[in-house]
Amino acid sequence: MLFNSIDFAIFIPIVFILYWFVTNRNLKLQNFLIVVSSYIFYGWWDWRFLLLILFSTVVDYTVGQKLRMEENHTKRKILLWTSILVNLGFLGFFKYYNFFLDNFITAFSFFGTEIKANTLNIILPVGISFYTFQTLSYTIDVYKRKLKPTKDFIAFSAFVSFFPQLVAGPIERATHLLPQFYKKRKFDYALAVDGMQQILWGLFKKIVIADNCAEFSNQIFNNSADMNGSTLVLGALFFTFQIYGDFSGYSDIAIGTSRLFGFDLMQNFNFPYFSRDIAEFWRRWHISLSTWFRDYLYIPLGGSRVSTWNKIRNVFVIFLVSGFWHGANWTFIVWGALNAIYFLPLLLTNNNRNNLETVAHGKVFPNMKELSFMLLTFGLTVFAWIFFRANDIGHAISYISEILSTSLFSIPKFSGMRRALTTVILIVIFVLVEWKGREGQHAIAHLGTNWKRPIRYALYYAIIIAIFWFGGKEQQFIYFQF
Amino acid sequence: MKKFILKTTFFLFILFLFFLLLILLPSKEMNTYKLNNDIEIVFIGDSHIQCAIQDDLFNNAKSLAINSESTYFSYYKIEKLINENPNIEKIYLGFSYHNISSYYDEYIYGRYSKDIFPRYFDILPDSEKQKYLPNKLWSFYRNYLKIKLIGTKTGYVNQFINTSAIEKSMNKRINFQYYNTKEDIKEFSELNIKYLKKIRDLLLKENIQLVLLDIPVHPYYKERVPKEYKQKYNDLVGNNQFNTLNFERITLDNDCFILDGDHLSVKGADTLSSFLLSKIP
Repeated sequence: MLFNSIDFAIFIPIVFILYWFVTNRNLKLQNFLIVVSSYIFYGWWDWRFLLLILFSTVVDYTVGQKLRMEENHTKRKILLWTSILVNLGFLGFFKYYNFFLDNFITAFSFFGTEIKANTLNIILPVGISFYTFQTLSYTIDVYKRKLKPTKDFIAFSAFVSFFPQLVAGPIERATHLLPQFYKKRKFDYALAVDGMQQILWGLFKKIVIADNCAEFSNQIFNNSADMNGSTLVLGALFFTFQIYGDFSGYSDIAIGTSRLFGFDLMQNFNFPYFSRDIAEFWRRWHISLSTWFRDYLYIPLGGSRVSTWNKIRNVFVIFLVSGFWHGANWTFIVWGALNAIYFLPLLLTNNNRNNLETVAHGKVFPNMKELSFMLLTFGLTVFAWIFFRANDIGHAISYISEILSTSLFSIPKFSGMRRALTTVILIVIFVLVEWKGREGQHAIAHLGTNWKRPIRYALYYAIIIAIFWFGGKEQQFIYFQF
Repeated sequence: MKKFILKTTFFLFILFLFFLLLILLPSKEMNTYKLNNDIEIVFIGDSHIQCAIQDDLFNNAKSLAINSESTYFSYYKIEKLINENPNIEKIYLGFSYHNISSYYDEYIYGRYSKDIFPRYFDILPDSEKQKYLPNKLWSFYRNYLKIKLIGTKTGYVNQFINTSAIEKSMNKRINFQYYNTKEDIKEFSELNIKYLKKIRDLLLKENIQLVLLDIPVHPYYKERVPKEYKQKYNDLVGNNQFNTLNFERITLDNDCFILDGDHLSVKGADTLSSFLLSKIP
């Protein structure tokens, strides 16, 4: 079920009423309702893959129970690896089987050996990368004794399948989300109102910004061989806003929806395009994934408290794995490597934690230095997104080559220029609102809080009308494919 | 909780009322169908006609062509037009190979219908409205309201200056219009063929002349149209004795087409419209 669909608009009030008015007296029943609703939400797309979620849930719950009783270090390790292998095994099969097979065949044919093997027509289960990492966090934390294993199977199932964040995150930690299923939830008016605001802004980001940008970025990337350099720059910029609007929009709707049910999810995007360096960017972009890799991969490898060479190795490992997490394509790996290259100089010169505060904190405008660093970081990010969006490495290279040619100075040309201009105006308004609200949890968290109710309502109506009027052609959320 | 539900309901009620009231506003789109009294000739069709016919050059003719219009919708458009404009004497209808491909059915009931169907919703009989059950109600309503409030752009539209056809785009276009897979040719659109005949019968009854316009396409493109389509088209036009206007005498260079080789550029439209002007008194 898509957040931006009529189905969801009908689904959510029904679940809300059942949750707060029918099952509210019994915590177990309320959690059970979450599980059923989540399975309906997911099964709306393809019910067959519910078995995968159920299997992962049973495996990790059982491993948790066994870890509770097991004191033997070797046996505990075996249990941990059972969970890791089962979860990553599914992920590997559905997401990476064809990629490895293709590369295996190519590598052997390079050395003159022809291997006959057929790739499989595998459907990637929506959200598999997200819920796999979420369940893994449970087993790892239980193994490390950071979290007590739960005895409540319903609460654990609700944690694994919690519908607002099931298919595209935020990837919650068991230590943060699971305990919320043990406690009776109380309806919090202020939290619910804030949730509604965040949902509204998320829909704006997705329907107005991302879907409109998608139309042009798809057109330009899909026909890049026929486009001049300036058009290709525009294509990369459109994609930059598309991916941000799409993914952070989804996170906003997920977080806002959770708030309606009394849950607190972690912030997943913190205005990343206002970052002054790449280290800051990665503290603000897809925070739930970055911190997952930091805690479960980077730090166990030694993090930055190792020799210089090991530091370099660790940075490359984390960024390459992060790239590969996004998909089975060399483009994602190069995207990860590029970010590692951007990040390394900051780490090696101890400048990776320079910009911890929000840019221009307490001020209306940034100073010239901040502005130039923001623009530089944004430019580097846009460049890396070209690899992320390209069909393959060859496509990315030819795309960049054309940008670097003299055609960069010709006038951009693609179909729908007038509509593109409207989209650019919308992006400018969007950036201004985000800039104004950059110190909040989301861009409109504090917008209009001191205004009189009719004026505040007018603002919300204006956003809804903008969604209605300027909404682009409906597109699938990009991160569903990951 | 009560406060939240009450406030949310109130907020949504106002919104609902607002959108409901918008529906009651007069439709701009319906004005499209009322033509000046001196208009005797009308061009109907899809983007091929829209890109090709510079109707400003004609004194007594107007183009109401619009992108993605199938003969199914053209029929209801023509029915409405001749009811509103008794002076119409002749209708030029764009009709080429692609019009008989089932890919055009996608614009009627399929995945593109939510963008196209709302344009014609008000002129369709109830029986046809019922056949269209929009699975994307939100998009349908949004498009319907937009069209109602700002109308659609019919007639000559062409922004393609200094373009030329390229093989890659033409192949892509051919695949989109005529093939499911590399080997598998798309079925014919029985619905659009049926409605072409209905247009003929309607105009015959109203004593209005019908002429089919097969707007030229790039030779590379034409060569790749499946022979089954060419055969079907020739049979359809020949067996039903449709009047057609022949464009074989005009020469169109590579730069008279846009990338897909299936539509004319501004230069192509200049050439074709000048030729047409000499044919229409």
